[in-house]
Amino acid sequence: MNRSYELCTASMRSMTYALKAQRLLEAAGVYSYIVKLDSSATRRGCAYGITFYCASGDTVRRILRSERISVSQYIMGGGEKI
Amino acid sequence: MIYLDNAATTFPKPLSVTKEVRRCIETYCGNPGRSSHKLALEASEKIFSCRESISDFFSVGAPERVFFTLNTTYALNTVIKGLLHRGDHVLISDMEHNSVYRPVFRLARDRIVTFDIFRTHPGELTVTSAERLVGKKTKMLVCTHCPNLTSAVLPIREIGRLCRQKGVIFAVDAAQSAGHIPIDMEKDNIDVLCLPGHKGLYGIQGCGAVCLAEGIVPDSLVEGGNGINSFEGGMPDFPPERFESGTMPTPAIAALDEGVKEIKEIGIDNIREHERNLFYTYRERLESIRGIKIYDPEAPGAVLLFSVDGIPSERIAAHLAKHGICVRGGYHCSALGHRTLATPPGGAVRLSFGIFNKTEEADTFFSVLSDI
Repeated sequence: MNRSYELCTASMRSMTYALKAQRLLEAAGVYSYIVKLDSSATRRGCAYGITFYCASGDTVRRILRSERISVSQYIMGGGEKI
Repeated sequence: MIYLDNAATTFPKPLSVTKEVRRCIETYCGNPGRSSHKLALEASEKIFSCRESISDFFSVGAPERVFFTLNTTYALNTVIKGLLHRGDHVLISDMEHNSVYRPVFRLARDRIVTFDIFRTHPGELTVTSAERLVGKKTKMLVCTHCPNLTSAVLPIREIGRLCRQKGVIFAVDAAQSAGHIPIDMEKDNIDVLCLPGHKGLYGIQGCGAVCLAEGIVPDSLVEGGNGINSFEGGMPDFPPERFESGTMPTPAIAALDEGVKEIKEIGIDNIREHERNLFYTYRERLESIRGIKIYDPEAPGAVLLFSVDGIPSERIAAHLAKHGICVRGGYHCSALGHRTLATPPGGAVRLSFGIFNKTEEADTFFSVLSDI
């Protein structure tokens, strides 16, 4: 499969941080969308995240790190778009 | 009708606010931060947009450090009870509303904290008065920016500077100043800012907000569900979700978002000038009536407090109300403030202006007042 179309997901602390992350990425020209994560995939119960093209992964990590947005975990695969 | 009770709640609301509330209820009012469907997401997006608006307007520094409460009283209770612990000392001013005085009084009555009250009159001695009372155990200074009785403005930037120097948390009650006077959390050295949604920011009743400086995280006042970490017994340790349990008042938050946009568009300096013009108009005519006393007459702004010799304030308010003029008499939930101003038994009459008041309304007001 072409890596350009593979999806990755960053798990966030809450919807608020997912929205903040999405807006920051959008400002940087990186497409992403908000997902509610499968509760069985997280350790603490209900959680939200953003899904993006894995090809943008380095940019996503850099932006989120520089803005001090905590990511609980990076997951291969995309969530269901809300 | 002439509405001069904007310090209690502003009325009417801008059309853009009314329209947004209706749009919210009709098109996107899902339960924010809960479910995985479009309405829930759109409600969450609107709430985040409001966090951004407030963060930008008050220079908070980050939208996630803005959280919503039921009103300013809940905001202040969260901050006071969430930051003070056994043995702490707290300072408040002599112009505080009961939303500050009562939670502090309660903590003191339960022997959890001690408190002192610093003087605000004369204004130039406010900082010195506070400084004299700061001790080793002083954890927080919480005070109003603008009291709800007059248009006096406390020197928050200087008080904030004092707090920074002394390592004291500085919390500001902006119930009467938000939307009337510029506030910059960073420049004003504010650690915690408590806001109303339905007063000078022209939202509707049902939400207030707290803005936190980086690193300030009070204990939660209320615990419950908030859509995340559901398997954990404790609340999240980060804002805003630490403080937002239960379903959020999305229509009120949407209204607040729109209200802030409206204030930005009109310009806070224009609002302030308009309110000062109204103050001068009413003050001048009140001063010409025998037996009237105006409190803090040299501090022009959105609020004007007066009493009339021999006539109880509630009687004046009732007389005006009978003629369609809305003001507020009594003690305005501020025993401390009334004591400081030495108002007569029964309190005083408060006129409070908003963006929709006109100077021409003064003619009707004084015509009715002179009949009493």
